[in-house]
Amino acid sequence: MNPAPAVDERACRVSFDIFDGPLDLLLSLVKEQQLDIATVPLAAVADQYFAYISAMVELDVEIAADYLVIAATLVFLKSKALLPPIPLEFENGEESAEVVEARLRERLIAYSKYRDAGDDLKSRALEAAAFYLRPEGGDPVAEVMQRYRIDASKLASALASALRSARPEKRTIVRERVSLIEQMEFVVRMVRLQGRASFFALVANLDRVAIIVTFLAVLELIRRGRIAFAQSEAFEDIEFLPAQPPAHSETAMSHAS
Amino acid sequence: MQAELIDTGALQRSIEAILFVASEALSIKALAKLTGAEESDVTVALQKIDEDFSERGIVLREIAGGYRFASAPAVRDAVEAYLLPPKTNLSPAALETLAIVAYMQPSTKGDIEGIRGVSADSVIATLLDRRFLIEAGRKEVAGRPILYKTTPEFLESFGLRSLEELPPIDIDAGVPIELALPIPTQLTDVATDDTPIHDESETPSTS
Repeated sequence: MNPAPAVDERACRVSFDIFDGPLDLLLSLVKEQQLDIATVPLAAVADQYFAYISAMVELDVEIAADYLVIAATLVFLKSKALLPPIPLEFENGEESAEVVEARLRERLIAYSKYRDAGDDLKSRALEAAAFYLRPEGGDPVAEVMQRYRIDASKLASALASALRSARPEKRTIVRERVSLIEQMEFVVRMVRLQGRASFFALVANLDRVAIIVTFLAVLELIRRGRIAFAQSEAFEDIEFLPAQPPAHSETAMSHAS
Repeated sequence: MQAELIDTGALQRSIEAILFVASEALSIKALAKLTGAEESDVTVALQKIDEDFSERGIVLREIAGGYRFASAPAVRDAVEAYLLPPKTNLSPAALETLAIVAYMQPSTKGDIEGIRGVSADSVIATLLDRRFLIEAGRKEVAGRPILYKTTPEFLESFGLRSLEELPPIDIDAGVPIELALPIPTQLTDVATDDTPIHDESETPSTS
């Protein structure tokens, strides 16, 4: 068989998809010729093997070293088969062709058994595909936890070490200063200016703390009799009015400050 | 409680209900524990369920070391009108790899590559992704390679009750396949970086 020219490009492209490694190629060549893997001289398929390799070279396909190792083995086996046996006195202790061939054959046989087992699995999968099972709940978190063997204690220690190594963040916290006295003065001013004031209006747009302080200011003012109040219903708006005897209010204020 | 469930009707109904909601195969042992019944009674009830469902759209299937309800093959088309058929198209390389692990597990990437003669990275990734393989610790040899084993999903997808159901393969898994490459001494330099994948002291991993 004359190798390279016989193999046209398209055929090879297909072949590259088919052969998965040098053993696959070798086994396929043996089977193609319906040879018995247990007895065939492996050198018999050497030419086809080389044809395939040279086609790969031609097509500039990267050839895995494994292909070349087996190619070298086949060259060796072929040369041994062609040449007369080396006279005993020239044997340099290298392995005989028989040993080398037996070893390659052993690999090939082992490979072919698993390839058959793969075929067997395939037919089983096709049979089993006729049965549908309830799909799993598919809890992706549980899956990740199982796959990476995560548990709560591992998470906790991971977090702890992350926190330990984290740079402390510097932050300035400014205390909001809302003075009770200022709010009391503010409320009194508003009541005096407008004749009346609504609590909701007083606290509109204030933040939480300021609202609380304003409310405390109002309570204090009422306690001291500085303002009067009216509320139609619980939780309704509260209206503030100037206290009845506005005269002695100044004295009360001076006590507070 | 136990006496009540010896009533085979009640036991059968309990088992049916459990198998109906379960999304995994449950062994006779597990079912016995869940129902508080004797394993022998569970076995009888399962046989009864199997008979009762023989003419139904659902069948009882012994698989992956236990029992599951599955749709009957006869109504496959109806099911596939609803469910997309799952991906079943594994490449020959993936099937071979799966076979190697199934027979030799736990096995390393090196074991697989030693037999197949090609890199196994992508094929292992595929099989892990399809959940047919799972990591099973590390082999305590140089480099501590990851060990892989097959999953219950593998058994289910391939219709196997257990790994023992795989046909015997007459390769002694204990005998390391010789990987020192069969090449003449003049060429050995080329291959010296090919470390033997099988460790001589094949110590079973503890994990």
